[in-house]
Amino acid sequence: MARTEDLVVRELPDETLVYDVQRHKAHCLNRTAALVWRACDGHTSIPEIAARVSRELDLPNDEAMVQAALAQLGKAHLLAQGPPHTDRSSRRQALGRLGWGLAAPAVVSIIAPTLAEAVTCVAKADCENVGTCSQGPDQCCDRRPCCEKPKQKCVPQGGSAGGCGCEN
Amino acid sequence: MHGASLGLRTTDPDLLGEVCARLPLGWRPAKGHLVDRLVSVVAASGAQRPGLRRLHVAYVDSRLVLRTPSLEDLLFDLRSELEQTMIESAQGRLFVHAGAVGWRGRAILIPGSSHSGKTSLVAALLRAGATYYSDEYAVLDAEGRVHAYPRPLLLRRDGLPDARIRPEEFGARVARRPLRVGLVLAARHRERGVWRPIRLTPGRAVLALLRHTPAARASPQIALSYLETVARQAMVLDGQRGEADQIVSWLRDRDDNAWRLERTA
Repeated sequence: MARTEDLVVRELPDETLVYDVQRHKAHCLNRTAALVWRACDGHTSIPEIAARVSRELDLPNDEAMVQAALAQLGKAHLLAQGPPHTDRSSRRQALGRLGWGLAAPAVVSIIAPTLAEAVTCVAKADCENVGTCSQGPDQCCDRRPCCEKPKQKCVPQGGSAGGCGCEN
Repeated sequence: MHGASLGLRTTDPDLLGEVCARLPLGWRPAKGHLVDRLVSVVAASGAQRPGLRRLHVAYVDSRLVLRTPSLEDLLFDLRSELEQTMIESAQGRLFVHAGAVGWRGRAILIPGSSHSGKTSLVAALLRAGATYYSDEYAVLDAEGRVHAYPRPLLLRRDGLPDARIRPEEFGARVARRPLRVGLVLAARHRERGVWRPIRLTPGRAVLALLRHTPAARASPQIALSYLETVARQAMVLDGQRGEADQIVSWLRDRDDNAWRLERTA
C-alpha cells in the first residue's frame, strides 16, 4: 500500500515528485513508477496493477515490471508496507527480457541538504594548502567550515611547521 | 531583506556596528518593531579570573548558535549564521546555492557545492559579456526569475588567500532587474572533461536544483513549487565539463535558446 503520511507530492506532466518530510529525501518517479505507486491501495492485486499500467501506457502486460517498480518504491520508503519479496536477479532479467526501455519504472532519489551544508565550505586538502601562502597561516586560514566535517573549521595549526588544518 | 526581518541586539552598544557590518547583502533598517527572528550577541564582560573561561555567545531566537572565547572568532562566524538565518526566513524568495549571470536576455544558473568551479565559470562568463547576478546564491522568486545577490566574487587561488573581486574588474555590470531563468548548467568540473550535456527531464531538473537548496528541509513545498517553475521554463543540462572557457565557447556558438543537445535523460 502506498504511503501517504509526511509526504509532499507534486504532479508533473510525465513525472511525480515526492518529498519525504521524515527522511528529508526527494524522489522523482517516472510515469510507470508513479502509476504503480498510485495503484497501491491495499486492494488492487499485482496482476490488476500490471493490466492497468499496460492499458494506460500501451505496453505489454507483465507482472515483473510491477514487481520491479514495487521494489524501487519500497527501497525509497514510499510504501506503507514492504513490497512482496522477489529475487532481485529475476526482476532485472524480466525487465531486460521485456525491453521496457524508457518506460521501465524508475525512482531517482536525493537527500536534501542541511542549512549548514549551504554555507561555503573549504575542502580539507584546500584548507591544508592555503597554509602555504606567503602571508602565513594566521592570515590565510579563513576559519570556514570544512566540507568533509562541517563542525570543524579551517584554522591555524600549532607547531613550528604552521599551516592550516580542519579542527574543532 | 528578501522579505525577512531580523532583530539584532547586543549587550555592548559598541558591538552593534560590528554586527551590522556582517549582515547579508541587501539589508536595510525596518520600520516596524515586529521581527521574524531575533539575533542576540552577548559579549563576555568583567575581569578575567583564573580558572574561569570568558565566553562570547550568540543566539538566534532561543537557540545557542555560537560560543567562543574570542570575540574576533565570534564575529567572523556570525556572518554565516546571519546568512543562514536570512535564507531560512526569506519570504517570497528561494535561495539556491548557485552562480547566476544574465546572458542574451535570459539568466543562466550554475548550481554547485563549494569548490565545484561555480565562481570560475561565472568569472569566465563575465569576461565574455554576461551580466552579474551572483557567484554564490541564485535568489529565485515564484515566477522563476532570479534576483541579484551581487557580492564580490570569491576567487580561490592555489597557495594564496582567497580574493574578493568586484564584477566591474571583469568588465561586467551588476544586474538591477530580475531575469527569467533560461538555462541551468548542472555541470561538474573535471580536469580534461568534455562537455557533452544531457537534458534533464523537469522532475530530475527539480532534484538537481533541490540538492543545492538550503531551505529545502524547512520549506519543501515552497522549494518544490519554485523549482518546478524554473524546471518547466528553462533547459536544465547535466554533464561533465573541462575548463570554464569550454562552456563559454559552447554558449557563444549557440543562439538564444537553440542549445543543441546530444542526449536526453
